[in-house]
Order: sequence, then C-alpha cells, then structure tokens
Amino acid sequence: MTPFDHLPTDLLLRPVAASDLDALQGLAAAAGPGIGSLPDDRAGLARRIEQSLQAFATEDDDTSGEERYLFVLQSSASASGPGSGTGARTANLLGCAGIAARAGYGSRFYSYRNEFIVASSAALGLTQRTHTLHLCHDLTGSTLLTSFYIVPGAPAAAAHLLSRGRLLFLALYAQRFSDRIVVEFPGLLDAGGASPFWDAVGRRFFGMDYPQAEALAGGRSKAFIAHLMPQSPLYVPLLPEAAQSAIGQLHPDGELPFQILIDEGFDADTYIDIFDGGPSAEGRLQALASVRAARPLQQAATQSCLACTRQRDGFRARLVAAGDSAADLGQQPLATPLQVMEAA
Amino acid sequence: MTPALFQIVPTTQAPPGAPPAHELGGWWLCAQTVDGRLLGAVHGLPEQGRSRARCSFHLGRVVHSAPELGLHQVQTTLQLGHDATGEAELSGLYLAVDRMNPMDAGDATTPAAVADALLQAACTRLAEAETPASWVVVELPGWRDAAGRSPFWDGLVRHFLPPGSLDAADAAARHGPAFSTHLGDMLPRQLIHAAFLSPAAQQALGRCADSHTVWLAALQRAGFADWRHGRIEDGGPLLAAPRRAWARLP
Repeated sequence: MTPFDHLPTDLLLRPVAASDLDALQGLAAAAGPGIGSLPDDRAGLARRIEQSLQAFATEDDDTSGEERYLFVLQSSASASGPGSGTGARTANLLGCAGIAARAGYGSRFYSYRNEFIVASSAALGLTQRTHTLHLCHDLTGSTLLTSFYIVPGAPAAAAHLLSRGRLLFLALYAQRFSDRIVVEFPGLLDAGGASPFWDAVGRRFFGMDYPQAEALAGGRSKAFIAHLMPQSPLYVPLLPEAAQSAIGQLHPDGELPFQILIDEGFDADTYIDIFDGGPSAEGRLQALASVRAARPLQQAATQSCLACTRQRDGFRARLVAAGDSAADLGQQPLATPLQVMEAA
Repeated sequence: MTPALFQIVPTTQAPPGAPPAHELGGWWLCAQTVDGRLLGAVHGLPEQGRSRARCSFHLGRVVHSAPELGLHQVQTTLQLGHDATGEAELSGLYLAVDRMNPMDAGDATTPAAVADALLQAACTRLAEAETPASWVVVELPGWRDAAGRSPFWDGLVRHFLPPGSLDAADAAARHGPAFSTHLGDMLPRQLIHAAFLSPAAQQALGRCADSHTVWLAALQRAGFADWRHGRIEDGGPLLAAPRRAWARLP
C-alpha cells in the first residue's frame, strides 16, 4: 500500500489567478503558525497574487531575482476547463505553494548555521565538544520554496503534487533560479503556541512575542533582524533545555512536506530558522530525485507520474496514471515518477 | 600621633597562611606587629602574564537598535581575553583577622587599617618599579552562596566542561592559581551575551566574595575602580588604578 495506490488525477497545480483571492484568503485563514509568508491579510495576499502574475509573465531575459511565484492546487472539477489554467472563477483550492527566485533579494537572508567547536586542556585532561549557532547569510541568493499549505485530510499524493510540481517548474526554467534550493519548515511550538527557541533567543533581543515578531518580519525585509540579533555565535549549552530540544525540530504540521523534500534529497542538518529554530533544508536542483528522474511523459508511461506542461505562463501539473497520455498537458509533457526513491 | 602598632616588611617568601601569589616572581609585603605577629600580606608583581596566560572576561556593552521598530536593547557581553597581560598586579591578599579586633575603631590594627597600609606600600613600590605596566590590577574572588557554590560557575563555566568531570574546588587546590589558565582553554573564545546566563549568574558577575569585602573597600579608598573585567572561574571583579598615581614627586 503506498500513498499513490488511489491516484487523485482530478487535482491540478497551476499559477494563482486574480480570481483566487477569496479562496486564497480562506487558505491563509485556515493555516496556523508556520506559514508566515502567507499571512491572513487580504491586501497582502492581493499583492502576492499580483507579484506572482508578474513573475510568470516576465520573459527570461527580464528576470532579476525579485520574482515570487505562487501556485495553487485545485480540483479540476472547479476549473473552467482544459487550457485555462488561470481562469477558475470559484476554484475550490486545496493548497498553495510558492517560489521566491532569490532568498533575501536586494538584502540579506538570515539563518543560524549549526557548528561545533572542540575545546581541550591537556593540563586538566579534558576535551569538550560544544554546539554553537552562527548567524549567517549563507542562503542569500538561493531559490526559496515558500508558502506551502495543504488542507487537512487531503490525500498524500496531493501534497506530492503541490510540493514536487514546483521542482519540475524549477527544472524547466532553471536559468531563472539558483541551483541551490532552500526551504524553511515551521519549528516546534509548545501547547500554548509559544516557541521555546524564540523565548530563549529572540525574545531577549526583540522584547516581544514570537507571533508579533513574525508579523513584523513577514511584512518587511528580515534584514532589520541584524540590528537586534547577536552577531556572535550562540553557545547552545547556555540555552534552556526546552530551547535546546527545539533546535532543528519540526512542527507536526510540517511533517509531510518535510518528508517529501527529504526524500527528494534535501539536507536539513546545517541551518535553522532564526525565529523558531525550525529546520531549513537545502538541496542542489539537479541532484533532486524528481529532477534527476524527469523525462518526457512518453518515456515514463508505464508508471504513475507527476507530469506538467512546458509552458511558463499557464503552467499546469497533475498526477497521471500509467498509460495516460495526458493530452491536456500539451506537447511532450515533462514527467517524473511518483515513486521518486525507486526512480532515483 | 598614632603609635606604630605594626610595620610593613618586604620579603620574597610567601608568609604562612597567605593565599598563593598568582604568578612567580615579584615580592611580598607583610604587615607585622612590633613583636613579629603577621597581620596581613600582599604580593606585588610588576608585570603579569610572563609566566602563564592570564585569562579574564572583558565585560562590554553592545547596543542592538532598530529605530524604525522603536526597539533599543543594551546588552552586557563577556569576551574572553588576556587584557591584563603586561599590567602590574597585586595578589595574595591576606588579613589575619583573628589576630585583630575589627570592632574596636580606636585600634589602629583593624583589618581596614592594615589593608590600607599594605596597599599604600605595595602601590608605591609598583609605581617606582621599572615596568611597562600602565595599571595596577587586582582580582577579587567572586561571590558564592551559603553552600560555597559559585552561581557564575554553575551558570556558565560548567556548561563548557564534560558533565561531572571537574570539581572546581578540587581542581583549584590541585593546580593552584594556574587553574584559571587551564580553564581558559575550555571556555568560549567568542563573545557571550550575558542575557544567556541564568539570572543568578548574571547577578554574580563582577560581585566580590563576602570574604573580601574589607579588601574591596580598601581598594576603593586607595583609588582602585572597577576595570570591567571578571574572573573566568567565578565572575569575581577585577579592579585597577593607574600605576603612576603613587609615584613620589621628585
């Protein structure tokens, strides 16, 4: 039994449309903590849609790295028909996912990098390895996967389509993106919704609750954080145990998208989010399992696949059962097997 | 005129009962009664850090400011270094309080009077010594609770040692003053924000042990001031005064 035994082929991944604003706000309202890049703010969401429309419409020669793409996942029953990828009027959206072409565009993108130092004293006969966190800009300029949200109860295959469909888009238009792909996952919160990591680190420098700081950061460049966070390493043993335990730990809401991307080949051991200590994963585009296994659909017709059009503006992707020619996806759809681990 | 109830006597040997000098070399001054009883002592060293690395935490400040958000944070920081290297030093501070009557203000052999006299004599010697030192520095032991535990050790130092590997008192007794040099090898080289320490450790930073409050007061009367450094093993304060302040006028 696998998540792909019953393939929901009626689902469609497409760029967000202006008419999706109401449905998108519904998703943002339903999303809990950890999707700070898609706050429940109608004006902000309208701007995100406009940014995405511009990004998809921008010709390759005119890209700057500022582009922010937003995809939505809908049931094909609510779409207005094949070939009208952006034309749904009352789309029943099941989720959304985004891409920021360059993390920290025009500024800096902050993370904590895990490092270890070893101290030794021959006279005392002691050696000790100490975990440290270094504030860094290492991931600046990488392509950032953002805004992943899928409604509770959606089939696992839908999450694969939503998350991995973006990877096929990246592969098709690689010249627009960095070859280093990064994604931040929500960190651990306690039963009261507080972040132990934030309470031990950020609060000392911001003097405010995590949601308040997240709202500030979400509404502007994170560069302002540099003014308030220590530039020197954090010595993890000095943090309370709850904060130490939260480092690199995932919020339960992030488990499925996290596992999908870890299976793709993302590495989540090096960086964490500076706000909640959640893991930040990175991977090289050409090394990701879905990208390595991508081929024309005709060559992958014996397996269940995730297939997409080759059009940028009007991009669509869906799940395709073995033997399905997917004529609705136009000429020579690009496909990657759903069982990426086997294919890779 | 106050009768000379004690005198200051130089020696090269550590007097019995006094804590060890922090480094080799230098000289001792002893306060002795006319019948030879030891009342107190201090060790002077014209230039410290020549026989071993002398570690301390520099206590600094950094300001984290984001005016556009209305946020402004002043943070105390600790930076491990060897800032006192090359400065003159007084150590081995000793008062034989059991041989004095601290309650009798009319007695010229009170602990405060003995400490004042020792500091005056020692600082004068250091002012006249041939040394590149600009400052005379004094380390005072850090505060401990009623059980003898150092909150600074518990809040900072122990986190950088293998759990259960070291008893501070045993190690200090075994290695003597060089213990702090060895300990320095284990502690962080990068800036530490004091805000990450426990509240008790923060309160202990720069706070003198109760056993040395007489010396602290005497040092302050002599012109010593907080040097914004702390001992690495217990956060005790370092005080300093300009060495030439005691130079005799020609």
